[in-house]
Amino acid sequence: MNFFFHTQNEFFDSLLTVPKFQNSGKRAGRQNLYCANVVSKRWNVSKVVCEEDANFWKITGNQKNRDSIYFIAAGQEVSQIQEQNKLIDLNKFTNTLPDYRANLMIKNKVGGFSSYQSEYPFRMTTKLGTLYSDCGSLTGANGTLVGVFVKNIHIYPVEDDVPLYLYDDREGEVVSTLKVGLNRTTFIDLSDFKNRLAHCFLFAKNFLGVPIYVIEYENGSLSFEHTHPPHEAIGGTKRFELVNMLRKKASEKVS
Amino acid sequence: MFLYDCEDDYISSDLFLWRTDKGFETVFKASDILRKYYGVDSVLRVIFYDSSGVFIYQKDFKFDDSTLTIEIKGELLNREDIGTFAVFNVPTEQTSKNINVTNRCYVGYGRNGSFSMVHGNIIGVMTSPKGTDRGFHQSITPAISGRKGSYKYVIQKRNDGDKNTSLGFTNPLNRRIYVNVNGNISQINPRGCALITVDTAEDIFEVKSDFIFPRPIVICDDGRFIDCLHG
Repeated sequence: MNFFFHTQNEFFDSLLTVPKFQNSGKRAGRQNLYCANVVSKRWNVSKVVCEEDANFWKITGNQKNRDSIYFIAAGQEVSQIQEQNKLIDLNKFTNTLPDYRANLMIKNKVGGFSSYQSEYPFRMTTKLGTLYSDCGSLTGANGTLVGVFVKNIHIYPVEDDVPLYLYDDREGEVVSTLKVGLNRTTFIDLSDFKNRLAHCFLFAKNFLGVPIYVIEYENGSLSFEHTHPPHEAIGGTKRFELVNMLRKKASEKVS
Repeated sequence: MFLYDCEDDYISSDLFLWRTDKGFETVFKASDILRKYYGVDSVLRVIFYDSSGVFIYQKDFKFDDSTLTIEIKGELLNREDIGTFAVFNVPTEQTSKNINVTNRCYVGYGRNGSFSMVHGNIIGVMTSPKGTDRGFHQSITPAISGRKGSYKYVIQKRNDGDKNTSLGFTNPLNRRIYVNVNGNISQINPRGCALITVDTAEDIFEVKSDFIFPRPIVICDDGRFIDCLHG
């Protein structure tokens, strides 16, 4: 099961378009789009009322729903989340290969737009792992605004802050200590560091999330794309051993 | 589906699309994967093909930083066109280590120095990091199954009617493939590509193909701004 989310803030509007069909063409049938929010340490679930047609649900981001998560389910399934007060892998409709994705678009004030095909797999919500993300691949010194949205979804309705480190691997120093939140979409403005991001990484312990980098150019153009987790860059039997070594080294560096 | 799973030692790559047509520029970013994970020095070897899959040339780029940026403009390839390229982290010296690189990398398309970035779409081709008796580009083989069939892929993004949308397909296989997008059929040579502008009132794109993974890069252009994403 996959979740979907917004990336809305004071700089960007967010438009989430969720398909009602798998990439094989199979349709959702009687399932609907639901959203969940953390309210006073409890998961609050409701059916989404939004613009829709035969093929898509379309939800515009705002102050109220910026941390909401969305999922496709049948009516009789969703009460389990509130009853057990934790996210549940309710159904397999969004478990597809290639992955089931929704289009997440940001727009700025001058009409610039950029999007990516987004999803947050249920399996990621059950873990408190380690976030490691190289900053150089999706940033650029020629952007007027350079930043990253970091999205976390956690199985339990917690909203704790976790320290996130921006580390300069060439200079060997922590450039900035920031904060990201569980069950939140956190935006971090990296513009002040844009000339050194080619050799920086983001690191957080006991935190998993999807880092989605943004560049806004002088002419209003936007770039919006996520980085892959480190284990997708290599294969083989030693894959996780090598990634764990990378993370261990990163952890020692930021300590 | 991915053939590198059967290999002990490989360096693999997406078969990326380059564009220098219609004022487009392409930017490419790769990480120094071999240094980071294996402690091995490498260069980034880029192999360029034209849209018909004909080899143009190869060039090695040095990693001066942990991330390497390559700008692909008309001057680099001496042509304003479209085509494909593959990139490999090639060790600069022989190594006894087993290397397994599935680096997705990032590519961006845009105009006048502003790019919409997208990660690699599909690991398409591979070769050995240990070198071969053949020339490098002759040693490149498909990394994905070439099994023929009737495959369908429905892109989970709405066709925004107010934008010009192009779908970019590349063919990593050693055989010709076809793609059919809402009735618009293209044949694509090995290592070649097709950029299909779909003029349809339908709000979804349905791709049919004899290739198992017919997932394109989607490029939306409203005349002022460009948005690129993997389908």
